[in-house]
Amino acid sequence: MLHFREEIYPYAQQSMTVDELLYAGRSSYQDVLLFRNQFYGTVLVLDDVVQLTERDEFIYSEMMAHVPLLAHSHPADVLLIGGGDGCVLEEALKHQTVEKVVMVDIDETVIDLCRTHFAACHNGAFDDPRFTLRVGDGLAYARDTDEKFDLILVDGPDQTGPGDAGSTLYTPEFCRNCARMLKPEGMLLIQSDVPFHYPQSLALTHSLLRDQFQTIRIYTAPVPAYLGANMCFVYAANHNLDVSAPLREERLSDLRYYTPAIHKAAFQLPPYIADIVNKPAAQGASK
Amino acid sequence: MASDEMFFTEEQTPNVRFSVRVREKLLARQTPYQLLEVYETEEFGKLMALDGKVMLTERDELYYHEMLTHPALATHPAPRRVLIIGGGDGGTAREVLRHPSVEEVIWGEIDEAVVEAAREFFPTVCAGVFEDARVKLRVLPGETVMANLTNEIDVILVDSTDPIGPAVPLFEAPFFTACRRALRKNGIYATQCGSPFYFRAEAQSVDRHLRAVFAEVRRYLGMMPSYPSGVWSYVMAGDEPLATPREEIERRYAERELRLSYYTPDIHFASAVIPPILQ
Repeated sequence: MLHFREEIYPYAQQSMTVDELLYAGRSSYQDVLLFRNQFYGTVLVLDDVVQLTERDEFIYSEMMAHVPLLAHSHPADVLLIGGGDGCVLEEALKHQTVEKVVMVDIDETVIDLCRTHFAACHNGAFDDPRFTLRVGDGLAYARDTDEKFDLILVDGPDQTGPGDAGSTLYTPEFCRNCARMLKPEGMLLIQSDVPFHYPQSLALTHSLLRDQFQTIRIYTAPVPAYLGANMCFVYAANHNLDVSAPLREERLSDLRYYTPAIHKAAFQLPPYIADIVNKPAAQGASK
Repeated sequence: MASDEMFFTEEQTPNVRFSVRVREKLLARQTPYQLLEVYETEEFGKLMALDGKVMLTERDELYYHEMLTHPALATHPAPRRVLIIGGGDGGTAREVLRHPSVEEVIWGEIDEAVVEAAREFFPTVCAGVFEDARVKLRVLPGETVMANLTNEIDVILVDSTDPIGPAVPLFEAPFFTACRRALRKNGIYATQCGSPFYFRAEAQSVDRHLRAVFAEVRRYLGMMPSYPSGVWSYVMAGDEPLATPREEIERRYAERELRLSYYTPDIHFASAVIPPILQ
């Protein structure tokens, strides 16, 4: 039996049986592997790191989209950096208030593969008339555009990937440009990995954002295919509006993880996570 | 890539495995009940496995033991007599004894080898509980320890292996009936209930059996990095309301001087919010 073994952390690894190989190749930017696993369904792996599985992507996608979208009084214009799989896009487009979603993703090969192989997850979101795709680098787009957004969702790769394409998204320049692209009530959201295994990601994201934004909040979600329990989302804005509870109601179809109660609960961090940003000195970083 | 001999590997499902890099195998022993293994690992500290499943690692055992123990003990206004079934590593007893009102811990662990391994390899987990005068540990099955108890226990904590395999009787109605008999009127029962993603059917059956016996059932979740899916489910039950006012939980947490790695009053309430997929 063929196995995919994720070696992102040398000391703790998960492996999944490759029950059917769907694609293995190299795009202009990264190694791409797509396979079927009996438990997780279709699995997308980029540069040997699990990105997305059919079975649990909804947890990530719902929490990345609905928490900020429902904490905003009228989100109309959304910028999605990364997210070429279309799953967060699908969730964002469920909101009646949303008029435009611009996706900036660098890797067209991955986008095309996901359009085909994750159709059950994104449900044709790529064909929505409110959607615009810009194939390119997130930082370059942020630097050059004059467009303004209510929400910027950074659905980039983890910081741990060797030579990963998303590293420019964790820079002061990118954060500064995000602050510039936001409308006054706007909000920025960045995923920041699994703090149990990689606390540096949360610490770095938090410190980068602190320089550009007055309000920063962290919330978590458990995505089983991401090793090491809950992952974090970091939320930044230049206003003091409370984001830790939904501000408005919207009839959202087919939700399996998000509820208004989950929204609030997700902001309650156990000390082992809260201490990463509150007591950085106490954090015994591992790798 | 390193060879497989350097890893402890758990088969979480037939299609998903979890491997931890190990420096040394410290113990491998077939006890009368199970295969007991202890490893020194690269990043998780020491690891104990039973029948090939990770039971605890030094690095994240606190999250599990705190969440099995404190939600139930904080829900009780003054827990004095606590009964532990299983939990031979001592971590649950350690957390119970953080509550100053506790006078006696009655404890049944079926497998003496687990207790011996804890004494030898996990001093920070058992943290002196075996020598504590309040602790009455007996090497007996949980059912036997409980057989003669009636209306005298404040909190029962079942810290067993999962609701699949040999521990199944601990998750069924006759055992729950015995628990209810052993508990005082406002007593609380709590147990771990496996991965909510991997053992959904088992959790549902536990829930059903509990509801047949107790008036109140409250499920909750916690993060557990070294366990399958990274999320763990727990459940508590009793005949009195289990939803405690926030001020009350906060007051008990402060008065009992709980300074912990995972459990806080905020987590107490947030952990009981169950997403639709797990309902």
